[in-house]
Amino acid sequence: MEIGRCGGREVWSWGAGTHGQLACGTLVDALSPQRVEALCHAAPIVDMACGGAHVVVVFDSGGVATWGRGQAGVLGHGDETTTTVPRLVSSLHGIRITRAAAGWNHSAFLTDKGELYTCGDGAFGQLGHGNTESCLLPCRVEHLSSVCINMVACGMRHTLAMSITEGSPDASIVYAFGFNKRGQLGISTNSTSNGGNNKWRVLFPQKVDSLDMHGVTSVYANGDHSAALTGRGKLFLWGRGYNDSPDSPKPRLADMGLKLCQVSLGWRHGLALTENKEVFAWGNNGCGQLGVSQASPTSGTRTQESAANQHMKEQDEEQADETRQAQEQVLGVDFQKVETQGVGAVWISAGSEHSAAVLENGKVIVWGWAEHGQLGLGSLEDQDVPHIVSLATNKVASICEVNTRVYCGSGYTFVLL
Amino acid sequence: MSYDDVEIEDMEWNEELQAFTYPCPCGDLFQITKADLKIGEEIARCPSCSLYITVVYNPEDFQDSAPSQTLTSSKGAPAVKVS
Repeated sequence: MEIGRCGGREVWSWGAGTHGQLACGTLVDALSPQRVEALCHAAPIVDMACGGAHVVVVFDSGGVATWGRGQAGVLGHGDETTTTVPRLVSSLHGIRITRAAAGWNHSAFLTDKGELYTCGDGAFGQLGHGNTESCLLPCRVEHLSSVCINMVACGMRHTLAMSITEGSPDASIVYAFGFNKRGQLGISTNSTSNGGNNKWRVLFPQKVDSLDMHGVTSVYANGDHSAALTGRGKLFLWGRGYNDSPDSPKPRLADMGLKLCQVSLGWRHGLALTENKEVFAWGNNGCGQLGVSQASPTSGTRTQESAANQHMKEQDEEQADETRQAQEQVLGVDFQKVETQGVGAVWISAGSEHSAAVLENGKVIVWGWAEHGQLGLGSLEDQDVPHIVSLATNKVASICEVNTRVYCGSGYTFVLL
Repeated sequence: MSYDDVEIEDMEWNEELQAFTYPCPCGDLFQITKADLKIGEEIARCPSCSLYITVVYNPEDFQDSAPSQTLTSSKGAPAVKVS
């Protein structure tokens, strides 16, 4: 089936490509950005999601295309074939998809009516169909048929879905399903226990009760991590602990004292964008994915919150705010400011072990792990501070400033111009 | 340095590869065979990159002489480290 043509955006990809995830018809890594010709003349893209080794794009027509490793039916084409170029998901024809999410090996699609469809690997219950079967075609999550889902996020083996009640934004509900061994669902699994490793598998969507009435407006997941952002820009984190800290099975407020407008999670780190267009990072910095050079002093780059925390600890460890201590100790979260070349950032994306952001001037900056060329800098060397990616585009700069988006997967990167 | 410590029960048996696997952040899979486990190997490598993980398991579970038993979490039982 041909992907509709009407022109508009340019698509670029680079990094790990041995499963066809770069959409260029090849099965090799690319160390530098290459233009994805199959999508450059396609219909305008409104959403994109990069998983373990597969990618989903949503067109403004409501159509969906997928490519990459087809294991367990993650591409939704009815088989397990790997495809190296975008292929329309024909079974969703006639259903208007508006958003998508991609986990390690499962995919989720949201319709304009708030219906949730999933496909791919279901071994951990991450498809929400009440079993551990895989689905070769997108199947509706019937358990959520009575609610309107507004956002979905996929981690390695789990899924989060959020429903906002129209007219009462504070009454949003977050649902979680899939693997819960690291607390990534934000719920207690005692009630669903049925022995062995199965006890960690939640097969039907469950409400994350502790997030009720916090006014959650976005949910995020990757690896064994989960996050939610409220309408007031407050961040909740749960799941696997950062920097070898204990896991947190309950969402915890990670208050930086700043209003956040976007979050993106990696496998061991996270990124947050503030309303002041600053980027903050936390978690493991083993590959430079925090963008904060280890050689430079970090004391000046931390948030006031962290500084205040440090001050409190020095003053009186015992009397320090318990919540703040818990947040630091349980999750190992220590927000550090990423220097974004003196230019404000408007979009962020965390890959498994690398990071990227779009600046106000339309430039894309990257940092972190580079072993598969996922930084697009032509080299395999990790970078511990942001570098600008050079894209040989003919696009007018003013258009790039408005539209550019970057999406990072597991060892690869896509840019929409 | 080991990328992560992963319990054998969290790895998946891959019939095609004839190995226990776990997702690697590069998109490929960390892999370790039953034969590896039998000789006490605890490193699962990714064929596509330099990363590897440490597999936490009880070697006795993979000995021929041992009675067959289900793989259990190392929690409760000491994780055996074999160098």
